[in-house]
Amino acid sequence: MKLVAGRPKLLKPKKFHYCSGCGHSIVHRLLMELAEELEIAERLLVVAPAGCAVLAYDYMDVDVVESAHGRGPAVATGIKRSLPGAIVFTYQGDGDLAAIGTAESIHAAARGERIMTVFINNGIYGMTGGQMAPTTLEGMRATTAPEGRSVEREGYTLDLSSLLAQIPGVVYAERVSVNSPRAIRHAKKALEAAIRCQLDNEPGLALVEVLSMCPTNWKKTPVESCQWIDEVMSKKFQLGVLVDRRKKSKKMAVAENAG
Amino acid sequence: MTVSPLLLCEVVRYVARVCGLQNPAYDSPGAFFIRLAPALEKERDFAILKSYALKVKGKIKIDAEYCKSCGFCIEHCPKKLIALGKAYNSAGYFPAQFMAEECTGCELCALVCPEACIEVYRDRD
Amino acid sequence: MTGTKKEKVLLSGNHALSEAAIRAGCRFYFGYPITPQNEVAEYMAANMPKAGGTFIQAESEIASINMVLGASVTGARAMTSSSSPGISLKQEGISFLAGQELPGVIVNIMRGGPGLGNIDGCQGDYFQAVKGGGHGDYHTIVLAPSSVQELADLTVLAFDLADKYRNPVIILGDGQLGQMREPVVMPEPVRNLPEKEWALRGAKGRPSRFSRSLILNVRLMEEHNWKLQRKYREMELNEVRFEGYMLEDAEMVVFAFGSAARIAKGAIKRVRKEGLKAGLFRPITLWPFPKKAVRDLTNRTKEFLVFELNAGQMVEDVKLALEGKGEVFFYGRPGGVIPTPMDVATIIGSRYYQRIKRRAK
Repeated sequence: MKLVAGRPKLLKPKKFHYCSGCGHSIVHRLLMELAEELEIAERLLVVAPAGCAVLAYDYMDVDVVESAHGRGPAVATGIKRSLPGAIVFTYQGDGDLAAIGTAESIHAAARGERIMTVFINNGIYGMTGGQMAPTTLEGMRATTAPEGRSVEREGYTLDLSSLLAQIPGVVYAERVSVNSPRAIRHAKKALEAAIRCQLDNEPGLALVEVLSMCPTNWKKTPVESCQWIDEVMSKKFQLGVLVDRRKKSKKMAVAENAG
Repeated sequence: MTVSPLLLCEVVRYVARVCGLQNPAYDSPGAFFIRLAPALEKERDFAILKSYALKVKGKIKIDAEYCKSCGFCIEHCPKKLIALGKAYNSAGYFPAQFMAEECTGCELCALVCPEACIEVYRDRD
Repeated sequence: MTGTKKEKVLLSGNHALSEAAIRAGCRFYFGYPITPQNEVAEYMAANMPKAGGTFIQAESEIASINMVLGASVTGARAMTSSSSPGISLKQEGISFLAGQELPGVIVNIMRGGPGLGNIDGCQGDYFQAVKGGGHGDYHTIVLAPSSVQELADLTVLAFDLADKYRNPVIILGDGQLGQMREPVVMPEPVRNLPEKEWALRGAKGRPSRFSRSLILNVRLMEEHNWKLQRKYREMELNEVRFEGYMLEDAEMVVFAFGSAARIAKGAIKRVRKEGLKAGLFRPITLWPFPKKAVRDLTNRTKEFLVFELNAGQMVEDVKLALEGKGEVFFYGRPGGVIPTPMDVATIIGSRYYQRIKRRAK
């Protein structure tokens, strides 16, 4: 029998410290599979966040730079401007991207930095023990919103990806999830499209938001967490392409109209 | 007229080559079906159908030390060939175990496994 | 700007340091506007692209220091500049540079403080620069020029030291220095930049590596800290710089740095005319502080006067270095007030008469 599926070579043989059923593990695997398939491992630089994925360099067998909380897009800007031929992506959680790093996220997009941002949205602060995030849904409990988030007390849930998608410097933005085989396959396609933006030198930032399970802080089993994304989370954070300004897509759209 | 899945995918593979799509995914019927699956609603049923059509045999290996008993592979195996074992690993989890011989190598378990600790083998593509 | 060898040009401090940085091989400038150093960003915006480099006006001082980190980790020479409040914002980034052992040059054109302060030159950021500013056990080399020429020369030195020790270096200027114009001989453009085998440029032909300051294992973290401390001891042994002026027969030594030292020099010239034997000790590296040279002064005299444009910061390091072997008088003017050399001469004179002339009777 032939081996047809297994652990990607670019994932170091180290057990993930992520919780059982965590979306990080799946996305790490997809990214390393893509790095191998697209043959970009030798020119890939990853900017790791503060958050559960701070130890990303323990798993991804590529060059990884740690960044201060939220500053990933600024660090990635410095890297990509210095190495325009490199493939650079930031890997960020909801606090990193939509709280402390809001300015960096928006301005890297506004400048049209040719990087990719992988935004892992689990609606909570995982690493620090379950505090409220900008993406925490109304009614969802967190340690700093023990009675459940309410608009009057904690304010509105923030959908930063939709705001970012309005910036012309964002050349591709899609929201996916990793809670089922179909969703995972689709997420891989979206990540590939985002990486290809750099390979094709599209003039802007590519964003992939991944709705990710956090069973520990959601106080659910892994399988229940997957269901909750379908039943609740993706109603507020709708899956799909948020914006597509790629030159490639425009060419295809023009061809369709012409043909 | 009934079209056998095998014939259908050979046709598609030919068309793909003619259109210049050099994606290795289209190089084999089995791989093609797996790539096609997301477009279909009843993925699980299709996986079973494919296995009967192609008479593919497969098996999986789960690395028990990495497994964290999340249950995704158990949930998504179309033929329910995986279950939580009775022994625990050094982290205190009860790793999933592969139970039966009727595996078709559909790769769904490896696809959903967060720990990337499932290897899938197939004897024919 | 193209100067031929040894040609003198009239430049402001902000322009001189920018041109010197480009000549030092810096090809990445990331900054944010704040008075009194806006001319640095403006000069870089016009000239960095001409030199084949990258200029970005970032969204904040925080973003700019993190962009410096990103460019630096790939082995490039990168810098940022700001003024007091903006430097406060950069502290986390500077601590990260030190922890990740990355070079970087940060220029602080100081202004009045605390808080929003004012836009006049001041020396209120000595503590911030020298005593850490950011969190953790680290130091940055702090260079304090007191003329536009020295600002240009120390900018080149800053990049060399940053690369040599893989550590951030702060150039501590102030509003006067940034705005004043003086004739400068610009340094020669650097031809060969040092090789950096530790840089991250993509794992081609070598194992992958990572750059980080997070070390969860406490014993490994302790060892990392001792490694950094060994670097700092090396800096203390090798990189101390200072200037002595009329110290040979001085009966009172005045301490001052940066712009304050220019005023103090003028004051010393005036009191010398009256027959008072005063001299100036001007630290050029505020960190590493010239502790040994300061202590050696006590062989000649026990009378010291510290003059700073703040409420008393370097005076503490002077006292520490003297190890109790001298009497220290402090004269400081915070808030951006610039006393004249005559003002300071009066202070030196009256202290001199109190302490030395009276004793002689």
